Amino acid sequence: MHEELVNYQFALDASCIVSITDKEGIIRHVNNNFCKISKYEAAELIGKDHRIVNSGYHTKSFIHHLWKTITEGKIWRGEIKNKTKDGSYYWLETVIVPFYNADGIPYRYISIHTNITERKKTDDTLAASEIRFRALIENSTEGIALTDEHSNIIYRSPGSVKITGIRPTQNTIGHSHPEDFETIRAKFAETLLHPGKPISFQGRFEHADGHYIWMEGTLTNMLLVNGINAIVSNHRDISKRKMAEERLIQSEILYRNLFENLLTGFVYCKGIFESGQMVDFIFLNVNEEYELQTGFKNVTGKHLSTVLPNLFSSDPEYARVLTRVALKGKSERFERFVERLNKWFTVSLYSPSNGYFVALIDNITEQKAAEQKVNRINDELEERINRRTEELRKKNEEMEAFSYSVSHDLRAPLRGIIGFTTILEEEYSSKLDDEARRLTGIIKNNTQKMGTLIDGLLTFSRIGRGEINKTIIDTHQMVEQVILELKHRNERNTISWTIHPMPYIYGDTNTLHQVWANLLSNAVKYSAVRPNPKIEISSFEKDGQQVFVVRDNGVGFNESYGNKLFKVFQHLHSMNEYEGTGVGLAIVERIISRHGGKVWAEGRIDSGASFYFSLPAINPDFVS
Amino acid sequence: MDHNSIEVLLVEDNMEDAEMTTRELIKNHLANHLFHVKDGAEALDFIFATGKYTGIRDIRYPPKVILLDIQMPKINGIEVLREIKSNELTKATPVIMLTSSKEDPDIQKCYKLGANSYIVKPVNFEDFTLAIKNLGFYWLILNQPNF
Repeated sequence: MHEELVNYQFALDASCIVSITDKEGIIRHVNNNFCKISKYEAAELIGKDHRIVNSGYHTKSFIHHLWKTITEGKIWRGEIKNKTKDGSYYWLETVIVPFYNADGIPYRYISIHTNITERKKTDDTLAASEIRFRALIENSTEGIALTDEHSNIIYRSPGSVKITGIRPTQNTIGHSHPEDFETIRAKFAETLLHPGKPISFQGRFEHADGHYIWMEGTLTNMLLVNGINAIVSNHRDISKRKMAEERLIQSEILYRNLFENLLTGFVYCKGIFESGQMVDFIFLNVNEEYELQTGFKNVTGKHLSTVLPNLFSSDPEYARVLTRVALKGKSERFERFVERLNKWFTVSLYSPSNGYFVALIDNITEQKAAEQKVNRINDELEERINRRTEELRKKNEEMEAFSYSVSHDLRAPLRGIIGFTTILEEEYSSKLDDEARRLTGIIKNNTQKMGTLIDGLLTFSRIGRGEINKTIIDTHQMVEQVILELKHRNERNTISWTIHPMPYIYGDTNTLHQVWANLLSNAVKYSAVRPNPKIEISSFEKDGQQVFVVRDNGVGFNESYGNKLFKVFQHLHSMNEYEGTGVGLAIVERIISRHGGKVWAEGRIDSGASFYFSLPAINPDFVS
Repeated sequence: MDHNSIEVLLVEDNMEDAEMTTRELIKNHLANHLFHVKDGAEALDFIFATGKYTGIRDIRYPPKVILLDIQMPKINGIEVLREIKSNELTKATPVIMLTSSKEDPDIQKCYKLGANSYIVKPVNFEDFTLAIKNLGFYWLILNQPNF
C-alpha cells in the first residue's frame, strides 16, 4: 500500500504542479514543478503563507468563495492567476482537495494545478480580437448582413439597419425590386455555388418606409467557415450615385445625339506645343459631319502632321489662331477658305481645357458665292451710278452753258427790237399816226412777252439744277415781304389780305421766296377783277407735313383740268384774258418737289381757287 | 477829243446796245464826255494807255465811271475787271457791270473782283433807259469820285 502511494505521489509530482497547505494556509509541501513555475526554491516556500504567490488579480469574493468551499470540505475547481518570484504571472487550472483527519475535519489541502498560461493568453487575444471586430462591424457605415442559404437574415449590422430600415420580414431577396428580382436571385445562386468567392451585385431593394433604394455590394458564401457559417453580404446605398449616373447617361445621350446629328462639323483636338506655339495636334474626336465636310476618314487618334503634313507651314496664321485659343481660352470665330477642298467655312473655336481645342465648322461656300455675287453686282451698280452721275454732271454743265448762252444771246436782240421801236416812235413821232403807234405797240408787247418767257424758262431750268440750301425760315415774315414787293409793283392796294399764323419751316430761302411770289402774284392776278378781291393765306399740319394754302376769291378754274395747271405752258384761260408765261406754277411745282413736298389746287369756275403746297414739318425742338 | 477827260467809258460789243445806252445818256445830259470801245482788249489799251493809245492817254486820268459788258470777244468783261481792280492806279475807278446775264457765277465773280455794281440789261426798253438814267445820275452826279 505504501509503495502504491509512493508511486501515486511520484506520478503526481511528475505530471502536475502540486502544493499542500495546512488549514491555516501555510505551505507544507511543494513539488518541483511548483518551484519551477513559481521560480521560488522549496525552502523559500515551505512554512510561508500561500499568499506569497498571490497575483492580486482575483477579487475578495473569489478568494472568500474558495476558502469557504474547501473549509466546508468540498473540492474547489477553478482558474487561478499567480505571481512568480520575479514578478511575472502565470495561470493555473486548479483542483483543491481537502484532507480529513480522524475527526473528519480538514487539516490539509492539496492543490493540483495545470499550467494554462498559454491558453489564457490565446483567450485574451481572442477576446480582444472579438471586441475589435465587433466594434468594426457595429461602427461601419457599410451594411454587413449574415444570411442563411435561403437568404434569411441571421444578423444585421447597425449600418445595414440604417440602410434598409427595420423590416418585419427577414428575407433579403424577397425585398428586391420586381425588375431586379431575377438578377438578384441569380447572384445569390452564384454565391452559393462558389464558396469563398465574393459575388458583386447591384439592384433596387425595398426600404422599410416603402420606397426603393439602389444597393450595391458583394455576397460571399461562408457557410462552411467556422465561426461565421453564413452568407455574408457587404452592401451600401448607392441611390444618389445611381441618380447622378442616370442623369449623366441622359446627358450623354443628349449630347451624343447632338454630336452625331449635328450638321456642323465637330472636331476635338489636343494641341502639341513647342515654345508656346502649336506645331501639331492630335485628333481626339470628330463627328460624321466633320468627316463629310473635310473628306477625312478615321483620323481619330492621328496627328495632323500625318493627315495634312503642310497645313501649319503653309498657313502660319491658322497655327497662331489655334495656339491663341487653346492656350488663352478665348473663343474665336472667323471665315476661312480651304484651298484643298475649294470650300468656304465659318470656323468657331473654343478651348474646353488648356491645350485642347474644339472647332465647329460650317460650310458656307454657297453663301460666300452669293455674297461675292452680290458684291460684284453692287460694284457694277456703283460703277454704273458713277458713270451716270458723271454723265448727268456733264449734261448739267452743258445745260448751264446753254442757259447762259440763251440768257445772253436771246435777250440782246429782243432788247434791240424794243429799244429801236421806241426810238422810232420817239424820233418819228410826228410822222406816226395812231394806227402806226398801235402797230409799234404790238411789236413791243410781243417782244416783251418773249423776253418774259425766256426768263421764265431760264428760271425753270435753273431750279432743276441748283442747290437747295435749307435753313429755318420765318414763313410769316417771308409772306409779308412778298406781299410788300407785290404792292410795290401793283398800284392797286385794294386787295384784302388775311394772313393766319404760320409756322417756321425748313427750306431754301431763295426758291421758297419764289414760290410765294408766284402763288401770290397769281392770286392777285386772278382776283383783281373782283370788286372786293380777297386773298387768304393759312397753314395746317397733316401726316407730318406742313400744308400751306393760298385762297383767293377770283375767277377760279375748271377743276377737271386741275392737274394741267402745274405743267409748263399750260393755261386754263386764254392768253388774252390773263397774262402769264405759263411757267410760274411749273416753277412752283419744281421747287416744292425738290423740297420733298407736293402741290395741288382746288377751284371752281367763278368761285375762286385754293392753291396748296406741303413741306416736311419742322420738329418743334428744332427751333431754338 | 481829250482822251484824258473822259467821264464815261462804255465797253460794249453790241452796237445796238451801245447806241441805246449812249442815246439815253445824251438825253439826260450825262454823255458829254463819253467814250465807246468795242471789246475788252481795246478797253484795256485805253485804260492802261497801251497799244494804240500809247502816248494819247495818261493812266493817271481814269474815267469817272466804266460801264463794262461781260460777254465780249477777245477779252471778256471779267478779265478787264480783274485788270482794272488789281492795278493801284486804276482800282479806285467805279466799274459797273452791265450785262445780259443774271447767272449767279458771274455776279459772284464780279463782286469778288471788286465790281462796284452789277446791273442786268432788261429787255424792256423803258426799264433799260430808266436803269441807265439812274446809274448815270448816281455815278456821275451823286457819287463822290476819288480824287
